Amino acid sequence: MKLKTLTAVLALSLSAAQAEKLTIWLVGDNANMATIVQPAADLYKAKHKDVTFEIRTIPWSDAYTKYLAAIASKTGPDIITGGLSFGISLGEQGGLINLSQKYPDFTAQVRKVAQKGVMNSITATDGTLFAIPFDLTVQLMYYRTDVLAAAGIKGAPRTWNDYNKAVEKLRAAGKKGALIQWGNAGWLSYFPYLYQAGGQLYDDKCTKSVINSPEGVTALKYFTDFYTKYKAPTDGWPDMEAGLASGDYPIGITGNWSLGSLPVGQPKIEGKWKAAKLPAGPTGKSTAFIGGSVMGVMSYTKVPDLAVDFMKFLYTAPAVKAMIDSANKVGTLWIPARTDQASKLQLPADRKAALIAQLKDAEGPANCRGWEESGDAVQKAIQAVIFNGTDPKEALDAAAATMNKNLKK
Amino acid sequence: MKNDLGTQSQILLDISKPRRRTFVSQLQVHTIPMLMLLPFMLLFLVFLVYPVLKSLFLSFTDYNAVREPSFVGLQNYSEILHDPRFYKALQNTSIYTFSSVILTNIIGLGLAMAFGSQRVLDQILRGIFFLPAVAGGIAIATVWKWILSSEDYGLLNTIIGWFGFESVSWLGMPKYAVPVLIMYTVWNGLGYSMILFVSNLRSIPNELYEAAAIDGASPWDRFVKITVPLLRPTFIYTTVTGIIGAFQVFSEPYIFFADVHNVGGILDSGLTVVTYLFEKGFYRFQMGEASAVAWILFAICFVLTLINLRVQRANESVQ
Repeated sequence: MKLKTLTAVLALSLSAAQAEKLTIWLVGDNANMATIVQPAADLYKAKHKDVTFEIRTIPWSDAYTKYLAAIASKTGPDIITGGLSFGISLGEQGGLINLSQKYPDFTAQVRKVAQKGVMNSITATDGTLFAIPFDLTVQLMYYRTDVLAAAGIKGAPRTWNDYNKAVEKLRAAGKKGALIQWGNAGWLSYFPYLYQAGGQLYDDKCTKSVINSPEGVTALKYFTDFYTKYKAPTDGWPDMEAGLASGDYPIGITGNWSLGSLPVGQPKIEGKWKAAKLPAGPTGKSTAFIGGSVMGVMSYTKVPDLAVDFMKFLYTAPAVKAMIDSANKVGTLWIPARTDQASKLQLPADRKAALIAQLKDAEGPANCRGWEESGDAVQKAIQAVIFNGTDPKEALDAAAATMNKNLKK
Repeated sequence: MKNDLGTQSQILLDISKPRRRTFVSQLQVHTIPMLMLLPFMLLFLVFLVYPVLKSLFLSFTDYNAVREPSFVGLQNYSEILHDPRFYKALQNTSIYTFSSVILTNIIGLGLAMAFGSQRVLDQILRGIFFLPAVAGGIAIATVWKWILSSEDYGLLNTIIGWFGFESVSWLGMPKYAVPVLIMYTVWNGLGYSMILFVSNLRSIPNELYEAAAIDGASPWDRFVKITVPLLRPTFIYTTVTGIIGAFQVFSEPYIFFADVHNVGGILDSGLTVVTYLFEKGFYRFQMGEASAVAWILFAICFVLTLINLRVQRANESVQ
């Protein structure tokens, strides 16, 4: 009898413990992502003793497949993070909880504090939100102060014109010029110039593509010059940090990750480089592309309320600080979706100021139907102009036709 | 006598008739071999036959790995055969396949003839030429990506720079994409074909060359009329396996040209049939279309192999 009672108590306590377990899969290309979130989980656990965590990092290359497998088998994580497109994509397939429908107060709160450009990207055209922003990645311009000064360039180029003049001066001084790393010669690196020129991918209501507008053409002509006139390298992913270190490419544009990796990878040029917002286009805007990851709750989870409660906690100031600090300890930079918390980032003042300024003027990819399928067509249009000399208007018309076709699918 | 013959032939007929075995005796004979084959047969059915048939089924469905597959008939095949990117992939793969197979055979044979002897130096050189075949794969392709980089740390451009030439964007210009793949594959595969040719060359009797030389045949005549025909088995083997392997190339173009948005590189200049399949399956999650690409690829390889074997057989009968 005693044995039976003991077994029953044990079984009950085990099932209670299981009910309070949160399994979290985080995308990342090293194990750091789990390390970054763990201190926040520990803080949460201090107030919720009965909750246990299993936090795992999933490589970017495998993430979507693993999530699909989890959804298909209805086993796996309760919370996931993934690329900006993962929310709408997995949500529409029934894999994620519709947060705006089930937790409207929470999503309203998130809308108030999260970076606006990213929020636009991850909100479906009918206003549905399947996932909320988790962290951010934004483009920045990096430059060598000493090399620019030696070439007679004062400070960072602030406008399109300044940028071109700087590249001309650098090339005249025997340097190779400027390079783009993130999204090189593709739609992602064209994207900022499109917005800086006053263009967009689609109209505001996602009824048609407007990439072939006069602004779009202006942006593409300007962008093409980097490669045809100023001979920027066209390799998929040129090594910007090595280019800065050698001084061959004293200006480069890539993601914010180099704020963290340049001091570690190229200590010899510490103090000789700075980061700045992208140069402003004809509209006066310095809009950059913003990416990052989103966080959602799997539709099959047995603990949806707990999962959302933990996600709410991750948006609090102490949790954000804990994650920023733990990222700093492992030598990386973690930018919270709450840009008002970016001041807590441990960076030199000038670099932090540049990052915060750029975060305020950044847009994410389109949330319109069919954009995922249309990216290739835009990429092809841009590359046809750069490599085959196709007329920019003609190329963008072709891209717009494909985008419109995909809008209707 | 007639009766004797009749009896003998009757006996022979009886012997030549298979003995009728009962089911039980057949079971006794075959049970143990079948049991021994059972583990293999199970694995064969589960991991080969089932996936192959499943992919054939999926090729007629709309399937995204989450929702249940829904039957769409030949729609996936039709979409692929109307997709210009598929033809770009096919064109790239065909140029890559035929160039790499021909060059690997020619250079492999050349090396086999030059370094085929048993001298120590030749053995060392053969080992060196064979090294890429041993060390091939993703790591080596990654090293080549560094060698071919257009940056100053790119080895090839550094060497070119010593001679005063401008850097070349080997991986960043569409016109170099397929040639770079061919060059890598030839470098990687010539050691293997060289070893096959060496072993085949050793099996050719020396007397044939001596007799031809006595008859006044020039070295070229001896090569064309003795060596080449007798190397036919190796040619058939390297060509057939080369074509099948080359049509399935994936890791090298993926490492050289793929990024997070696109697997084919600039203007799809490095897109191959299998990277196209991979993109359909694992970037777009159109598993039905990806399965259809796999079956189209199978059909292409099957037809090319048949043509190749027929051509070789026709050549044999002419000679």
